[in-house]
Amino acid sequence: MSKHILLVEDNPTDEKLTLRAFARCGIANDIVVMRDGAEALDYLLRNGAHRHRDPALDPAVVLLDLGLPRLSGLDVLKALRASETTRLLPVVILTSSREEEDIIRSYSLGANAYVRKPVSFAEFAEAAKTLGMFWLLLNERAPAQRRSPLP
Amino acid sequence: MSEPSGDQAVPTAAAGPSASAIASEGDALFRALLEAAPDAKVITTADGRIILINSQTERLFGYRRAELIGQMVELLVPERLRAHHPQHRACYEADPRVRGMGSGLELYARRKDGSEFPVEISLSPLRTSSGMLVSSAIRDITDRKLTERKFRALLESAPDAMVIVDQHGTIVLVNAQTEKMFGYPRAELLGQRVESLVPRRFHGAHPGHRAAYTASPKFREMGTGLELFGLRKDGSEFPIEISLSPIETPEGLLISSAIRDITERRRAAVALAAANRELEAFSYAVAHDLRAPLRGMNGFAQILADEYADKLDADGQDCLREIQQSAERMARLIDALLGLARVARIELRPQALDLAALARSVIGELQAAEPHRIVKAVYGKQLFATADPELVRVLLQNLLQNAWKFSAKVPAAVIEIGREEHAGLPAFYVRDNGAGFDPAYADKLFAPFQRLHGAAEFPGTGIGLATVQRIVQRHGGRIWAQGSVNGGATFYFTFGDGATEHA
Repeated sequence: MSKHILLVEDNPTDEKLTLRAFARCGIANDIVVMRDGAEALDYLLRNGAHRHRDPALDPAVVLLDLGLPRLSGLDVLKALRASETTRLLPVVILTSSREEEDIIRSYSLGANAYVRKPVSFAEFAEAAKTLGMFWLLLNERAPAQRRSPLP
Repeated sequence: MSEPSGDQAVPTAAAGPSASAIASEGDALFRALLEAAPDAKVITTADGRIILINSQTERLFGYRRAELIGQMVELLVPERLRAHHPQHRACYEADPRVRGMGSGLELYARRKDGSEFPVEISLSPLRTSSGMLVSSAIRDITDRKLTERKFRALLESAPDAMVIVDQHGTIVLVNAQTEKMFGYPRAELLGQRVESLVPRRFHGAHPGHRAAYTASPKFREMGTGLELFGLRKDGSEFPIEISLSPIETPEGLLISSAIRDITERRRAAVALAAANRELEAFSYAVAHDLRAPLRGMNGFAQILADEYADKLDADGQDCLREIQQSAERMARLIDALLGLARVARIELRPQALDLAALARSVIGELQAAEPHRIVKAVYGKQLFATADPELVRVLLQNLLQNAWKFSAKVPAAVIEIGREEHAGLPAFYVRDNGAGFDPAYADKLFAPFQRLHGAAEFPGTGIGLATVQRIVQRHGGRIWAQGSVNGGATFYFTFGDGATEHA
């Protein structure tokens, strides 16, 4: 599991649908699912239950829902951008909302993209395919923080 | 000014030594001055005998000159006040100088017919060779009193607390509402600084504000955009709104403040804001939580159709399609309702717009979505308006989409956007030559969820025209429709007075 996607989604139906949509383009196995904001943050910042996670296994992209239990999507995003280890991590907001305010706040807090979940599954599958292709195959990640060279 | 009364220009001398002395001394200039005075002039001897009057006195008191000359001046004083009058005269004789009579008192005079009227009197001593005379200038102030009474009645009947202060901030007049609102009896306020009605934390700045107002006095709100508070006698505060107006008086500028207690309005505004927040939260929940199950319905129906196609016959496949279409329709409805809510609440940012350019871009989108359609689009000239660009785009999207949709079944579809005069005012219109509508239902077109065509014939949410109407109303304009069955439809709209520019 060298390159994978972290899906942060609390709605089990949406989770299943999303996994199926990714399965259609053959990347179902490369997805880790977290079901609330606090757990996702622990995973990404390697805290709590996830403190022993291998940092080499950071996801290629986080698909982040906005309406999440405990910590909201925007709170998670804010915390990620505030941490040295995750401030450059690609985050795509994947949500039902098309509210102008949600879009503006997401970008203001440093989201890399904003995708509204379509109701039509055909469109959703297409969106999943595009997202997977782009973030797993095309996109170049920011290199891990290098140690400062010796003076 | 003067009435013809025989000998009016010539003050008549009365019998008696001093009178004849004065008559001989009085020259033409003196008499002319006496007659030219706007007030009634009565000149008496030091012991109160009338020796000279002008014609204004005759008119004011209803006596002929001959009836007054030689009489005691008390003849002109109401009977109820006569007893004390000689005493007052004696006082004046002891200290004769130019002054008003009975300053601070209300003075009354008596006509020949016994009626009384309010007067203002100023006294001046005249020293003559034959002794001191007293000249009284008497002015009828009935009109002024009446005006004052009207003013007071107006003041008392005003719904607001009225506080009138002078330039130094001393309260000179308040009404009953002021007593009630601030909890002070009137007597405790008159002569006090107006700052006693202002919370202490504003005392520092208040005199400066007053000076600024005095420098440029005009009718205006106090502290526009600021929250103002009044201070009651018991020390409690309450939110107020104040409008100021200057009153020019001979004694200098007075400032009248109309003060309104807005506690109730403030409370209502807070409740309204809370209700609006709740509504916002509700539409947000609609946007998210109602869409999620639709995604599930549509998604799993699609998965079933795709992955289990071999286990379903044509009828089964059809059922799945119905499920999917229902879900998609509901998603569109939710989006349309959210759109309607949005046009109702976003802030208007009007700017100069060319509706023809906007319409071209919308028609372009419609054509791109349905490239096979052949529609002739006609754009009028000078379609300029001042309106919110985002909302006008939504408006045109809805109207043009309708025109596009309802002209789908005619062989040579034409959509026209233009402007016409209606009742002397310019109105824009969007016209098509499509299915039209039964004019009997023209009023129902704009109600939410109201549809005049079956969904199978022309699909739609029934929210579009309600949204258009909301947009037009938010601009202070009007929308109406004309049409007939299979005779096309024309939707007229304005953006309120002045927003639709004359060509």
